[in-house]
Amino acid sequence: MSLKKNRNFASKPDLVSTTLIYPVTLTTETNTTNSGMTITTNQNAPLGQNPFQVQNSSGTIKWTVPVAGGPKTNGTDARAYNAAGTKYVAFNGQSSPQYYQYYDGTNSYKLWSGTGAPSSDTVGTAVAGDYYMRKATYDYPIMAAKSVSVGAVAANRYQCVAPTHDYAAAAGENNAISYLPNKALYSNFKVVLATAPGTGITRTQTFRYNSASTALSFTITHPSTSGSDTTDTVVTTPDLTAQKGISIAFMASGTPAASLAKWRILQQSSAQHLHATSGATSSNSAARYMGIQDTGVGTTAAQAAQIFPDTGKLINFTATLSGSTGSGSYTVELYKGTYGSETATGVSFTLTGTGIVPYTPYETSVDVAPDDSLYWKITPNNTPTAAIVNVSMEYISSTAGNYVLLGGTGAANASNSATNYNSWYGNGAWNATEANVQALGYATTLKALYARVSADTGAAKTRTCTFRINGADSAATVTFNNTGVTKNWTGSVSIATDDNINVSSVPSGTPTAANIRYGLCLNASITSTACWYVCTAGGSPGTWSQII
Amino acid sequence: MSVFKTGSILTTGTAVGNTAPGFTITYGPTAGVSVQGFQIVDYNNAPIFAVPKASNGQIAVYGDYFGAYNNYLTDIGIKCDAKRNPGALWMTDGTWMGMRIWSGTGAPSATTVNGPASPGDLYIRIDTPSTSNQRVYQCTAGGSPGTWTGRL
Repeated sequence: MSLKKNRNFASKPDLVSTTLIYPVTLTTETNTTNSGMTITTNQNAPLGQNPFQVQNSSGTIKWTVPVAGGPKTNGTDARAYNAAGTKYVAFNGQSSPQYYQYYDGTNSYKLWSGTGAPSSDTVGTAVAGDYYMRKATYDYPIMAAKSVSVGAVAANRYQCVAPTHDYAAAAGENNAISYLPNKALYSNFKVVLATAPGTGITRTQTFRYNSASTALSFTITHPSTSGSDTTDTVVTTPDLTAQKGISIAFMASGTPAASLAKWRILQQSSAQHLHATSGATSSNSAARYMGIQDTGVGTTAAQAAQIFPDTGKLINFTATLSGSTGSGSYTVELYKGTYGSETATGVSFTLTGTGIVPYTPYETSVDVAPDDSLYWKITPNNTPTAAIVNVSMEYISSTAGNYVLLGGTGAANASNSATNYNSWYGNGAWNATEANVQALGYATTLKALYARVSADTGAAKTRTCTFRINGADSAATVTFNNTGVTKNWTGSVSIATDDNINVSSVPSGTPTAANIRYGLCLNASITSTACWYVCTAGGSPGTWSQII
Repeated sequence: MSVFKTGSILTTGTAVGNTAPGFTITYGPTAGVSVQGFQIVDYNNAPIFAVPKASNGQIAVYGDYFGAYNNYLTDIGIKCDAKRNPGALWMTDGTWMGMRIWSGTGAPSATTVNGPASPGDLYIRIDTPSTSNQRVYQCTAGGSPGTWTGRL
């Protein structure tokens, strides 16, 4: 069959929704600029529609051109040949991970890239002469935002990795899962109990990935009050079709003594991961608001808005739900701006069905700067079945290794007559007892503290907000004195491994009742600088030599 | 308007070893260089994908990726990233941890690295090939353009 020139297929009813038997040849016009064949996407075509694709006889897609996301091969290469069709350069999609393939005129070589030294995770079958480009990674410590209850009964309890929130077994792990915006390696897990488990009782703490226990785990046996796993590591990899989350499980034999617990874990990655979860199911009838590094929701934006302490970009957004929304849905939108005047950033998800939404890597980035106010707005549509809303993203600072912890609360005022303490990040309530909010530190450096009060102090009154280490004030402090509702400190305060850390609020002269939000900017130590390797002997992954 | 709702072309494969293509578009003998042999446009006629005659049948993607995937539903793929302006080569290790390779004239700038770049990204500078540490740069802090260090 041969089609001549441009054809108006609509005038050929037999060509609508039909199958043409090969070969089909279409010859373009000879003297016009009309295209040979045009596919016009429908006005309401979803972004995932594939206007054109090539399949094999069993229906497997080999090449496709979606409305959004760009043309892509599936298990095959994208090649550019020389005129003779004998040599080519290619994006090789035949293996996982994929690589760039090039020729020296006779043989082909490959360019790989990833984190860590070349390994079977990052390199397929290599030959001598291949190159590998290693990205930098940093040690981002994740420390339980405060001392949390681990229960007095022999039942599993789950906690969010960041920010910490504690859930009983009855609530289920779903409430505590943080989903993954990108790949990371977790290690150096440690827990310190306030009270030993009790005679004959053990407590087991486990880092969980994809709702399964991992080797990153240890047991505390009475009368010990602490334990750690400094040898095992867990690599977490996001999945486009089945989002995988992480959590911490506390389990016990028998009936342990009630205790507070502090814990920390190390995340190695090229960028910091920020997690937020509604914790419990979000309202299915009214809008709710959630910080960007938060657990729980508020009924107003002011309750959720967090103050940002650094300059950089938020990227790689993802969102998901704990379950089906029925016939309704949730819209989740990121807001940013001056406190009280935040506007939608354009980062928006509509969560329906199971709510698993593909990641949006780098397709959108949001610039952030000190004093920016940020929150997620969760809007239910058509009365969805209530579900937990989870969002995650990465933060890339303009300063290598910088990361942020966002704390305070917009929902409850700090005392205006007594010293109060709060966890150093997360949406924690102010507490009169410092030990109740202390976190277990990991070696890192505090570089900035940005704080905001919901109302200024009033004349001749002050409120001082201070970062504290081991029960003592550090140099990181800001004082509100009726000269503005935002204050900041910059400098350098070292935090040592196992330090007890938290934030205080000290009023003087009974300042106006106010809540306090603060953002901490810290600097992580670099795990590995970016470097380049050349393969000196082929294999999987073969032998590699660092050259730069 | 030309509407071809849901069409498919079946290469029957009845002849084993038959390598004839299923669908061929032949440029007319005097077709102008701007003739698109095949194109996909959105409802406002903005191009999404095209195969123009110019440059001997290059394929063109507009403001999006062009990549190779092992499984396009689950993995990240290696891509030409034209969502950035200018574009970049975006590697993968199975996640988004792969580096980008940028290129341009002058040191990395917001003009040549319309990021976000991230630590480990590579920039190939083309205007000073004889100057040490001005040939290849490495990103040490993310941003647009971020912070870059000359390495070669």
